[in-house]
Amino acid sequence: MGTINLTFWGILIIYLILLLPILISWHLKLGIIKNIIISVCRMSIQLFLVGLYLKFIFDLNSFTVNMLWIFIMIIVANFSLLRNSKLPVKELFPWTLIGISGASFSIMAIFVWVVISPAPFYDARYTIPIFGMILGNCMNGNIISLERFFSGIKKNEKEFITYQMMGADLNEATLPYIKSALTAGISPQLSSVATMGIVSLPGMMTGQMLGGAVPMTAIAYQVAIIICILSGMVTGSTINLLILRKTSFTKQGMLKAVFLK
Amino acid sequence: MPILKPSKTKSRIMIEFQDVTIIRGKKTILSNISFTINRGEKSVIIGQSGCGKTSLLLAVMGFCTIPSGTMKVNGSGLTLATLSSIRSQIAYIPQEPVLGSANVLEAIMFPFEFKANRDMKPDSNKVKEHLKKFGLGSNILEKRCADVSGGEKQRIVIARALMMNKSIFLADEVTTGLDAANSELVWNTFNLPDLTVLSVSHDPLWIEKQQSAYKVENGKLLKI
Repeated sequence: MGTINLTFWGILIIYLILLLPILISWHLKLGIIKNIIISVCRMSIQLFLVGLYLKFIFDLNSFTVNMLWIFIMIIVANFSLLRNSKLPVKELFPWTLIGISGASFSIMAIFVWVVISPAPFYDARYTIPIFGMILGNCMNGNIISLERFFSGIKKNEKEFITYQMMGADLNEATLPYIKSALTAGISPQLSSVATMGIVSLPGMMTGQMLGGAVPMTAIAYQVAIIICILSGMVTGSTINLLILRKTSFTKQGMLKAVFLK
Repeated sequence: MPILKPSKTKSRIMIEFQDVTIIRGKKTILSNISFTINRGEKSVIIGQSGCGKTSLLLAVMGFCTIPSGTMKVNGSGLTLATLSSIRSQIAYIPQEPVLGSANVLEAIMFPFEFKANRDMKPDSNKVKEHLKKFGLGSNILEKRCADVSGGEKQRIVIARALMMNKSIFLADEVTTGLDAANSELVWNTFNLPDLTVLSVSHDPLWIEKQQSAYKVENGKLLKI
């Protein structure tokens, strides 16, 4: 059972649907028309290019190329994570790289290399898209968690100082902010997971079914990927928060100057 | 910098700044300031919002960068080695008191959950005794912090700090938002002979009760 291709005119109709948010934005003066157009253009170009290079990578299916591609994905995700959470890229890049790459890569390895175990084990058709899904969600969770952690400490500076003046060491004083950051990072994913299957049919499952997979196989993959995404998000954010707790404060217990801009 | 051990004898001067420059982040907040606060003295710092009053309190607690000058608290030079023992003598009370829990009893016990204070945990009689000294009945222990007035919250955190043997209080706008009666109660709580209090305030009634006052202006500290 093949997938019905989208024709040029079909795609054009889909792009015309964009007129709805553009008209709403224009009428309510939301000031986001430019952002909508730029974002959709970027997304279209990026995905078109992805189509080209994924075809190349799938055809090549080489261990070295796959690992190199994973490395590039991690670097871009880490850069994007720091820029979107408005944190200093230069100072934190090596630290957040540990959490985001460690969590995503090890969970992908368990899912693809151990559970699916394709031949060869590094098969690009499984390794690259699944790693991308885990990494992308891990990055999104980290953006929220890290932003919440640092903004929480800055906004509640007097509370944070009071904890330390009451005898809390840095681990004890930062714990409430770490807890709140992790909860904030995972909450959107948790609420989406809780309604999955009722409110929404998730992307991976829909894609597999459109591609001709039987529903039960698609569902098994979807359950597995959701568990991997949740675990990657929590593990990656926790590793990064614990590392940054050690590296972002002065010996006196204040955020380093680079965070106080 | 030499490592100075905290003084075991009681020093008459509790807080001493000599030509201290205070930096927060990358910004110089105050330059070459000098002042002394004696044991039991009640002193206030005034000045426009954002002029550096709170930074001065943060510097006393060792939360700022000090590129030049010497700072002493109870006879000990403020260095990384003495930081924790100096902090153990100081209570910081911001405008919105930090209770740390939803219920008053839990809030009082909150700091005793930290590793450094576990062996100081007071029993319920000691807690009630301390609260009584500040005109707070034991029935307040069962209340939710949200149901306690601003003045009561201030008295609770001061009582809690005294249970931790704190003797220096840094009070940051503690009477802002309180009515005259509650303000008076908070002042009476602080006005104990053994307590050294350095406060920041805009409240004229609070300022006039102090034994000494300083003004922060253009990055300098002036005695008034």
